[in-house]
Amino acid sequence: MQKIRIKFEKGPEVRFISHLDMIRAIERAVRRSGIPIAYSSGYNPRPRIAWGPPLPLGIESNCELADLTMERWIKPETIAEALGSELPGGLNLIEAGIGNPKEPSLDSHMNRAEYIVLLSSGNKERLRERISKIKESSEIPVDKKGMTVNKRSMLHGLELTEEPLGIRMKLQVGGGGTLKPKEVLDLMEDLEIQNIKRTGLYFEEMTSVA
Amino acid sequence: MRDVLERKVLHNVRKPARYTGGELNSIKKSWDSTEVKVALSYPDVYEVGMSNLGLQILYHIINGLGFALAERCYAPWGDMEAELRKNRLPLYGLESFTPLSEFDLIGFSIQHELTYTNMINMLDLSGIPIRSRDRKSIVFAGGPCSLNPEPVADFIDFFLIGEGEEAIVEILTTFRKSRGRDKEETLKKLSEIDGVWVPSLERGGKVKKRFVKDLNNSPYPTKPVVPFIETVHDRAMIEIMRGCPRSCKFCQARPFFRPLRTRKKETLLKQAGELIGNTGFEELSLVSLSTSDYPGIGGLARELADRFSGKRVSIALPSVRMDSFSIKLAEETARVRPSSVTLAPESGTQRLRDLIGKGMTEDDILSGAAAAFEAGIRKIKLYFMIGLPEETEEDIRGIIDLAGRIASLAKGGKRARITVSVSTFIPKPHTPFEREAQISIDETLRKQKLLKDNLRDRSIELRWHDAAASFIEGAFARGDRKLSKVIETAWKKGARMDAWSECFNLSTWDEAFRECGIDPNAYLRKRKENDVLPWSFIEA
Repeated sequence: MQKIRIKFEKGPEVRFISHLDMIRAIERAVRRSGIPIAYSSGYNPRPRIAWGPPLPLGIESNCELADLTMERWIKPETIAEALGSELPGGLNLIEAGIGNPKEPSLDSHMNRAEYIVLLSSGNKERLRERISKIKESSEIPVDKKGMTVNKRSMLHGLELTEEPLGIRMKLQVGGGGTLKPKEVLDLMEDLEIQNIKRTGLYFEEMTSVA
Repeated sequence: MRDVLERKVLHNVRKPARYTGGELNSIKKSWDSTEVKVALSYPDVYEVGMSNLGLQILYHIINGLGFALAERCYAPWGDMEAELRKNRLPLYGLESFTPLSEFDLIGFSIQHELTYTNMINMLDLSGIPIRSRDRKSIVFAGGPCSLNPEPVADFIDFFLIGEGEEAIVEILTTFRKSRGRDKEETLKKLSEIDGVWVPSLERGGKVKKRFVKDLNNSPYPTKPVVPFIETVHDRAMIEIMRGCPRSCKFCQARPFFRPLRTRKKETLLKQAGELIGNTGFEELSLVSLSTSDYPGIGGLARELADRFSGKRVSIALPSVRMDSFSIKLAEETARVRPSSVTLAPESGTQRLRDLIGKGMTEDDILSGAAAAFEAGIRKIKLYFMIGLPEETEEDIRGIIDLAGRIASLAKGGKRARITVSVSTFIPKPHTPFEREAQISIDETLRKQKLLKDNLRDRSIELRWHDAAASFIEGAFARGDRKLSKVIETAWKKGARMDAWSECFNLSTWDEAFRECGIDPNAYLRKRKENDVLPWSFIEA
């Protein structure tokens, strides 16, 4: 069995499609493309695809990942071509390559995501102040089913970008717990958010907090 | 428009993908270079509307015409309606995000009476006056409710009675030719098309229902829109047969889809291949009103299953008669063994089943259930009606008795799980029972209680349709022009999404009827032989 890792973009026109709905759309694209995907066994066979950490609703991305298990060996370029042309508008294949079969599943392996929040307007000085306040604080309180959880340890980077005006953040994702961009942005009042984009998804050895 | 929606609205509503379009196979034609623009609207949420085959057919026919385009629009759920109103945004076509008011024609598919308030709410959300006489734009409607269009006749400029495949092309061609004329003249021209009825014009004789003669040469969408979010019927569909060879006297689908026509196997195999190739759906459903009656159903289903097994496509056979043949067939062709089977005896005793024209004997029912248990299926869903003509308490008790006899057929110590769904009989126009009485809310509740009190068997679960919702549906099903005032009043009082039990509110409707000085119970009465029926001008 061969593992193919694909990287794809979730564009602005499909950012309101949920993770589960996107999975179904890509599974159908795989079926249309005719690539030799392996199926799970059992009563309800599903194409064997492992997905990266879910992208929150309303956020774009240029770095989504999925691992496809193929029934037989096939060139990644062939997959890129066949699948790329079948994806619905807004989902665009960036690249396909041979995956490492020994690596753990995407969802448990990837533990960092980088986001860029574009702002339509805002005062730079005030934004800088707010950002340093959050970084100095020892708490990022997030309400979880009526309980407050401190997610400060999941914040690994927060900075202002000037051209264009925005905020870049590096947050924990995956099995160990997820800090969502919105949970950070909620700490900063009246932001004029233009859009949010995930720009990086990767594995990082455990390090100290930013 | 789209920008404001994305920044201010869509983050605040549930299932925002209902409102963003862009699905696979959706068609976005050039707005500026297309002459005639049609908004195909469905007065219920996206998931329900997207499952309607009729609208998919029309969408592809219209977009296939060089001079016309069609976009889709569905009723927004309450959260979206509130956001649209708060931000003063109009309802729009999902393809180009153009406000509905800018379309030349707005068409509604009305599948049942409890969507009437959604229909006028959608017009209002578009800034379009709800009554025909108050507006310049043209709103039309079709679907099963057009068999009695009177209750909504004040809101609709013209109705298309019957099937739309051919008529829609004639309508759009006529509309295109009468460009620049005033609305009344355009409507007069449209009224000359067979099956078109214009309520504002003098009635010149009967209106004949339209139907397609040759189903094999009639266009079928083999490249349908594939929704992102899960819809009610989230699968590929081939329509194997239209019309029904049975003659159940309560059923309105029979007169609406009359006469019986079948599609040839070769046509269907070709369409199925295209559909799966164009959609990637994991399931293919063979659609008709009575699938077991399709000649050669076994051969067709097996051939489809063989052809698509490599793609792991499962074949679904809804609306089959429950017998050993069908169960075996379903086992062979479905990827997943059916977890339940459905059977509609409709009535608890043979006497009443014979009376309503349900050609099904107790033997058929019991042997069907036995075959299901034999195949290892333990869940059986049974559909019944209460309030049928000449029904007695014995017939009501017969429902529980029959369900009990079915439950006792389960062998091997494994308990059956029987769901008994009971709806209230609603006499519908153009059926043999169109003049019969409908039982009141109190009578419905009394009969429901009788069922509950007689139920002992713990493997049987009882469910029913809301008595009050059936009451309102029944009043409108056989309503007349006077009811448009009631619909408008209830809508102004907040009635929306009445087909959804969490939204339906009887007191809103009670108040509306009272304010209009109309007694809804009068519409439930038995009609005399010489009573003129509001829908008698339609020939189905």
